[in-house]
Amino acid sequence: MFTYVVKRVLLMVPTLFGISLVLWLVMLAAPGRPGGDGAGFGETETKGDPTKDIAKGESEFLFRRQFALDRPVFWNGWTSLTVADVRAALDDARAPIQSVGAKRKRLATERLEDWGTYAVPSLVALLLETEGADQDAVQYWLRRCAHQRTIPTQDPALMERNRRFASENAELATVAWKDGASPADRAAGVARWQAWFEGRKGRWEWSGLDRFRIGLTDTQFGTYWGNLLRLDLGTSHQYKRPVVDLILERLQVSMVLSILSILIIYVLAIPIGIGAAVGAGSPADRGTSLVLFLLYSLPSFFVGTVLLAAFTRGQHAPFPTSGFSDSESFGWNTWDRLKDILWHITLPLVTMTYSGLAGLSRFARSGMLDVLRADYVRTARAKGLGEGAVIFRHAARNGMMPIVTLLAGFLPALVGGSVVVEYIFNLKGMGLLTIEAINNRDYNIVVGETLIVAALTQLGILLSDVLYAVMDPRISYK
Amino acid sequence: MDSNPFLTTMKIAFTAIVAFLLLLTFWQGTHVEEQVAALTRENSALTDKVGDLARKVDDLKGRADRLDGKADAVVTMLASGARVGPADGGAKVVVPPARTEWGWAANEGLDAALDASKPAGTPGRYRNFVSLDPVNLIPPESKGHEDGLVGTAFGPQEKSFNPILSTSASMQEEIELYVTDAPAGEHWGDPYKYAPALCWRVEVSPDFREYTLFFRKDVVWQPLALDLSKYPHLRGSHPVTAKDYKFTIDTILNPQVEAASLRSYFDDCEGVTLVDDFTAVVRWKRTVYHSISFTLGRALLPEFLYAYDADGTRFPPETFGQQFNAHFYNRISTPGCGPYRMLPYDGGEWITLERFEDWYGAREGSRYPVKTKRLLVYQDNETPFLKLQAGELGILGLTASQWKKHVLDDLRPENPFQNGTFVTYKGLRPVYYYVGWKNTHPLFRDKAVRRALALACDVSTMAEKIFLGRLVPMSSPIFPGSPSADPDLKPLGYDLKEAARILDERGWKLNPETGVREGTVDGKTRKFEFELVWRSPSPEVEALINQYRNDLRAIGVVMTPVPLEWSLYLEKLHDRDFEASFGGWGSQAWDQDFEQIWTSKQIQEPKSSNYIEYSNPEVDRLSDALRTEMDVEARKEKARRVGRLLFEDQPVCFVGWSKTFGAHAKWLKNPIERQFKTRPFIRTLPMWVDR
Repeated sequence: MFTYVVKRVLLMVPTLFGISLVLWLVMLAAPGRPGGDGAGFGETETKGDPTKDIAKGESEFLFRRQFALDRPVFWNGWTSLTVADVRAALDDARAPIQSVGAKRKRLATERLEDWGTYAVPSLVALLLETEGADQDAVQYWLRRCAHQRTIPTQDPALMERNRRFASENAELATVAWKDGASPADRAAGVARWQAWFEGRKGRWEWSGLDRFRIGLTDTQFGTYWGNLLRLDLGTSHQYKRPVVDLILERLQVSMVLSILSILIIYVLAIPIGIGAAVGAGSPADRGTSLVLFLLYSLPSFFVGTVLLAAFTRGQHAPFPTSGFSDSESFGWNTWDRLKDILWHITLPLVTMTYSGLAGLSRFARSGMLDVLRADYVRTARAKGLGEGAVIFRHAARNGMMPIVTLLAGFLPALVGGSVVVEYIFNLKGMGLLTIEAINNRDYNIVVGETLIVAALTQLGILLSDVLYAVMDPRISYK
Repeated sequence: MDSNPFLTTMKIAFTAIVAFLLLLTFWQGTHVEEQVAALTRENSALTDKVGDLARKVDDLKGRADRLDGKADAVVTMLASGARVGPADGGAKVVVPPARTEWGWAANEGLDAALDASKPAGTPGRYRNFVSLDPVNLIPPESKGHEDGLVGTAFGPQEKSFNPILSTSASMQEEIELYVTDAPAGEHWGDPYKYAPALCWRVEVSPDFREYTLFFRKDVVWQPLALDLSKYPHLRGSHPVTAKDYKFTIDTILNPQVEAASLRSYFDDCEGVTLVDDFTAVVRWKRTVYHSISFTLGRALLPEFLYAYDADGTRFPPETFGQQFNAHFYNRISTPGCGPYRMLPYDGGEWITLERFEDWYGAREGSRYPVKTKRLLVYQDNETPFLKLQAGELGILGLTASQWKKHVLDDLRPENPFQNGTFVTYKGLRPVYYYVGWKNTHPLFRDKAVRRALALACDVSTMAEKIFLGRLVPMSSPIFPGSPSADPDLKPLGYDLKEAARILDERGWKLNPETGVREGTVDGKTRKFEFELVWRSPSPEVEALINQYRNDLRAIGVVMTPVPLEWSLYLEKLHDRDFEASFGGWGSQAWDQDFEQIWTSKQIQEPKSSNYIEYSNPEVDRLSDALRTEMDVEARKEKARRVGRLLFEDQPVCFVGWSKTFGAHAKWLKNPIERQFKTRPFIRTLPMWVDR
């Protein structure tokens, strides 16, 4: 058993890797990009125009850098950039929109920005090949690409590096010539750029191993997995907070709802299922079946809305319209706060419970029916045991096996939350967080939350396997 | 142990629940918790008192310093031979009166003896730019109703409560306007004029390139929404100074800060120089009209908070912008020095603002009547509607379906929207819908053709049948409430015959076989068929587009609507990968700036708002001139001319202004103005509660 469990746990790692790979592929295929218009970047922010200030677009660039969005998704081949590649992008970025089209111009500009330091050698080479306004444009992009980005840190060594970067960035202004400079100034400027480049040439001399390492690691996927191996799910680009913090904050609401609803479902479904199985075919069984099927067929958004309309309308309504607790409950004693929370979540709980209750009680019924027809139950009856003892001591143990193992399947639901219920009842839980993250392309939240749910699903499956073995001595894993 | 694991589990769960309940009963029964809660409350009250005392001590220190200064002045005078008091022979040595440290009275006499040769930062170089607003925003009827609580709708959860980083309208309208404060605010009746707020005097050079701001000395930052025992460096009273102003502008100008839209308005700002702790000089590289509102109307940020991390360590300049973007206080609250203070937001469904009793305006008789404002954070539109009915919200804008169902269709006397429990209202908002033509597309290059297409849009019927009155036909993008709106410019109207005649005249002839118009453009014959992209889902817009499609079909024009998800829609517009589009713009309600949407230089910007590629040299010229025109009357005239040109060119089909419908509880008084703010930097009229 132990070996089996270890094997399964080890298998989870490649499975999670595969899941995250699929997730990245799906997100890659989806239209739209993270940040963009939702992250405070203005329409008027100008890119690709050499006449504009060099600092323009810096905040957007830093944002993309921070989340590795300026890197290729799976493989970084930018160590092999050629002068022709850079020239082509430069030409497109500078061309009038009417001649190349807005999309090509945008993509070319983004490409130049994303290449950053990788394009520096080619841009220095291009400085020698161009003149006039073309040369000004090459210098503009050279300054942008050579600009080194500082990263906030508490590490003294990295802070020192930031200071060095800032000083080197300031130095770039002294190397560059002003737009519209005379040919002599321009020539002197080119010489300064060459000297600047020669002094740092080592930065762009990569060995084959370096190219392979960069190709794999300096990518969106590589960065994400690098962080993941350090158990870092990253930071939400909308909230500017660690994903783990956000998930833990939202879990409070989702888990209370999920645990209570699962508890209620089990407490009610098992006796209903047993009762229905014992009295199978009776009018009571048929009536229960009818009601349960009706409940099962009602969508939760409908039931939630009906409950709201029926029980929360007006100033003397029995239940509050929404929320998890009273906003002024801070300072109340535990009992009053518990009562307040229960009062607030009664309707959401009903909405979350009825459907699961209907489904699970049918499982319980069919499980019990199978067992009640078994030989050993007949034997128990034959040896004169009372009906209660037969059902609860002998039949229920085996009959409830599928139900208990289904419990493991609820594990991911504890974290996942319910989008519909949270939306209708205005509860700030995991479901809403996920939907919001999807809408805003907040990749780190989406992937982080999905990976947690995926891991819990696998754990749940493993747990149900183990439970089978514990409950049924005939099952063993070797 | 029971051999049945199922029963065992059940027993353990049952025992645990009973044990928990017993423990809880014991905890409650001994009243320990209540005592702890009482002590906590007492502690909190004491902390507040200590904070108040600290502020008073600081205030007294300030007064003592000022007295010291006066004493020094007297000593200096005496040393120079002057004497105080009656001198021999009855002659008197005049001691110049100590300038009132702040307040309107300090302006007395300054404008009468202006001297431009004084050094920068000295009061009295130029005339005072700010004047007292004759309108008292606090209605006298609100007297005696100063303890009300009112709930209003906010919207989805805010990602950041930082006034520079947040771009949402809810944040600006519901929080910033109440919590933060700026050097000056627009007059209620005439937003071209400014009233003093944090500054007791503002002097502007004749070329509008130098602004000198004289800050009041009695304004303090509100206590932060934090447990200050964990943040000792933030304790104590913090005055609002010119340093905070400089910090604010420097932060906006920092390229790392995620506020590019805002920063673009400060492109021409040279920076801020401090003369002393309460005097700042702002210089602009050139004369631009928006320098007035952006110099005077910008809410201040407290440097003592945002320049440091949670441990009190100052951010290094190399990474300040990035650390500011992720500042720990951004998710907690908005710091301010205005009439309301925002309590810490815990991620729940309410954001709470409490009246800040130490606000300087309150001391001068402008105390706001509502004591507590609660803002509902919600996703589903039904949630605030139910809260309105439950009395938790005082006012709410209603959706079209809510308006139809509860106000128009339900005429029962017991309906609270009919029997006076709720008062309904309507109003125009500076938001309009349009059908945008890609002006460089062969089908839409001709302005006469664009005019014909606009004539086929039956806005009146759409407004009545589809929008149930929530749409008002329009003529140009200048808001009807603006002084720049031309009252003689009427909406184009609906006239299919005229539309068909124009199309015929412009060479788009109907092919009787296909029923579609055909014409020759650039030497090629083509059918008048195009696709219109629009952002789904919106039943009203879908119905509008369908009606327009039918009308266009009637004159032989085939339009195919293409509904798109938001990001895909946006991508199509940015990449100019469309023929026609349906959209909406928020418009400036008072003064006008046409640069962003209507000037041809924006066409070259890949993500520009002029994605319809409209170009008119006269509009470009007027727009440029408007940016630097400082004369109000000339501004109005120029803006009207642009409005007329846009009407003539029809770069888009101007569909209509959006009207908003809503309801407020009868116990909420004076709430309407806040719903239809036409002035971006003005504080809203105060509501009060009478219940």
